[in-house]
Amino acid sequence: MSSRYIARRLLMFVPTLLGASILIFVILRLVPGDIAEILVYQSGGERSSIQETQITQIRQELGLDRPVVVQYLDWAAAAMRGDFGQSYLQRRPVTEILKERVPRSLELALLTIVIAMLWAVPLGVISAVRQNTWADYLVRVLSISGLSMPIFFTGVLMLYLLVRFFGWMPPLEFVSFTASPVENLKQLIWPALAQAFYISAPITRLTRSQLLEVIRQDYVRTARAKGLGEQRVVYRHALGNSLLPVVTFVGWWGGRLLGGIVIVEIIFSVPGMGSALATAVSQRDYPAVQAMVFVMALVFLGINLVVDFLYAWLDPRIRYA
Amino acid sequence: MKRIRALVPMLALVLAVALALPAGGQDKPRSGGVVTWFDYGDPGRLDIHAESPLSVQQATAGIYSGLLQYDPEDPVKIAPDLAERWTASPDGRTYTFHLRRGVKWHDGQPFTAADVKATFDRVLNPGFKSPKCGARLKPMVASVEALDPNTVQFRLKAAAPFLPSIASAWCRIAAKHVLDKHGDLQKPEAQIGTGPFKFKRYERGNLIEWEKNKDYFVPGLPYVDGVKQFILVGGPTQLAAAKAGRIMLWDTWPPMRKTQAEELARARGDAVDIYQHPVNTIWIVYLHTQKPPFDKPEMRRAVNLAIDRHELVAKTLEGAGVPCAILDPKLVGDYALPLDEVKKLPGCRQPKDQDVEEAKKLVAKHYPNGVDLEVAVRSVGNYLDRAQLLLTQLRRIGIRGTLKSYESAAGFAVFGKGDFTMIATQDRAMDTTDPGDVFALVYTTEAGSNWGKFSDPKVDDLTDRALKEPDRAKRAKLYHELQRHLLQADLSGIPVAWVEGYYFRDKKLMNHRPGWTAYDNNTFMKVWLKE
Repeated sequence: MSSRYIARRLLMFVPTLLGASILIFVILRLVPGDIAEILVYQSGGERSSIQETQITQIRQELGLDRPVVVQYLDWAAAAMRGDFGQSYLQRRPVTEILKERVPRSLELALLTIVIAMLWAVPLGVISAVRQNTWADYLVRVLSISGLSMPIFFTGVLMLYLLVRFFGWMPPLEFVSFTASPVENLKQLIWPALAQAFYISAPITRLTRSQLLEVIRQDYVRTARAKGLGEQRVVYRHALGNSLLPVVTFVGWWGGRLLGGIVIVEIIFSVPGMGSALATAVSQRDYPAVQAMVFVMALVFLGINLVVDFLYAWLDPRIRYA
Repeated sequence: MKRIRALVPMLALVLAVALALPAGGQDKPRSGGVVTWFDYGDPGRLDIHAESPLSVQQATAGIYSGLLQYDPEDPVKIAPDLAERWTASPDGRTYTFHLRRGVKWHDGQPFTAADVKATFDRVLNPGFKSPKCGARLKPMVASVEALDPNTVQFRLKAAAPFLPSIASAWCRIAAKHVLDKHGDLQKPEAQIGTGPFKFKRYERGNLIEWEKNKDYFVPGLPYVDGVKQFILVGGPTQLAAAKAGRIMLWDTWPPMRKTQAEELARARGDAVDIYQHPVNTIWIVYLHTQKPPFDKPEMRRAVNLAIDRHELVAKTLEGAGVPCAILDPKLVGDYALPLDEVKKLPGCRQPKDQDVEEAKKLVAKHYPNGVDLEVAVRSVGNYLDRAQLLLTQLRRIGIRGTLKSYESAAGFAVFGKGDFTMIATQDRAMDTTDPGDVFALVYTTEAGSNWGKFSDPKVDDLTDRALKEPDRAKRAKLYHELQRHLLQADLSGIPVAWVEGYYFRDKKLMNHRPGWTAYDNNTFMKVWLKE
């Protein structure tokens, strides 16, 4: 991998992140109702001069009365120093919220990817090497089911079935992995499974189609002609080359997972970034929403950057593209 | 379907038993154990004086005490709390409270009258936004004085139903030294009260935990060692937690629907009591009186006539509600007009044919081709279902509505600013059981939730007179007159029903009695666990 390639990718990273941050900032302010109005009217009050004064005061306190460009520049300058401001809702630094919530969501995302890969890649291989057999059909039906069921449905169904058949549901009290790995996994494994079921479907299908393409290539035929066993041909020679697009896909999904996590975190009562984001959005807690979406964008872009490097390393042709 | 039908009598029996037998009345209380239940949202900020969501009140309920409270064992009665007794002057304008001695804050500091004065100076400060306690007391109270370390005196601007406000779950006493130190009560570390429980832990987005206050001023209380409130935002998660036995109680917003209660009854059987209970909340349809077409009183009358409250309650509340009434007799007794009388009034009477025909004529008079309008609704609970059914009913008379839904908090901002023509459905919860609450909240010119800008001098006058009337019978008469007048006026806030809901408590949870507002009786002061 050439240093020029790395430098170019890194340079593209910066304007992309900047663009994302501007987009987050502007979109949030286009949503009707700001925090000042919400704080004043949340108890169902009616507009009056007192309410209007209170709204003006809150806007002044929070700096919302300044032009949006000034607000953005202030925010961006502080964000570069790692200061995302104070949460309007929780009245504490947003960095504290991020420190508390981000690791939990990352853990859930990682667990999801691990489960999905452990499950989806072997299924894709089975489906490809046993093409058009009952095993292939079964795997394809499973994939279609995973793709057709939205995560919220899978999550609620899972919760319902656990309670219905075992009279049990995952623990409601969150315990960190460092405090008790077992208790932590008891809670996180279920939302991870619900998400993994969803994302494993495209991984399975992609593995299958790529493997089908690769095992028809000359070098695989040569390997077979040399008398190598089928397992060795598939796993040693074909699978590695089929997984390149899968790696890209998983990277892309890894970033998207943080966004999708909102729903499963609410269903399974996981106090991660997703559930915090949902509350912050509903209350127009701008600093918290901006920081959380920014972190999501950062993770998404970061993973994609790593995937690009990985891809270039795995496939030497990429560096010249 | 057959199984569901078969469960209905069982559920009815469970309800009857639950209502007939207050939980744990006949057993000897035992100490120990932890109560588990849930908060429907993450409160974020915890200042009981400055916030208004139920989630905040619920998160801090057991931490603080009031001067007075609604009796945990008989939630209709006002009982002493930090004030052991009180007196009122003959003109009803001066109240003197004599405080308990020897009470300590959770951090060991002594409680005195200075704390009471600091609390009420704070909520009565015109510059301080106090949407619950302050909003109730500011129009009533002229001054608060600490006469000595154990006596506090309130002077009122006029005679008023002051005690229900002082007993309100929002008017809790905060420590002066805590307010001085933290400036407000927003953070967990500022939760220093005199209540039966100490604030132990707030795991944001997940859990609020209280632990027993061993120095509580009522000897022997509380019985349980602690309370855990899980923050469960999703409806399916709340129901799953109830079915799996992870929570012992459902006594918060939103209540269970009947179908959920039936599902729970199937899952938990004899282990739980399921009961139907009022939420002290009225469902209102708002029309803006200063915007067409509802600037015409006859158009408002047409809507009032066309709405079939019985159908709305039957289909969207699964029967759990009291249709038509402005006051619910279950909540305020004889202050409410008898329901038999209410049911005969135009708009409420059944069958609807006559009212619908009349409504059609009124609409046709102003809009021969009918009228199209945008109808606002907050997308919370089952509001969208309610709104859809309402629009179907209005279509029959030529009012063709298109729904515009708002996310919860943004909706309130839109309503508050008056940026709507019609609000399809909005529940308003009462803070106390005083009959005057609903009029002061929705119907007077200055009412906080008079979003449709309704103004009727007679309503203002009757509300004011009833509020100041010390004689109970005369006061009831005034409220009857007010209700009769409102039910036949061309209102902007059309009452659809008093909402009720289904709740449950685990049978091992003893001595729990639901409060008459969503905010009361959630301190768990006298609750104990059988096992």
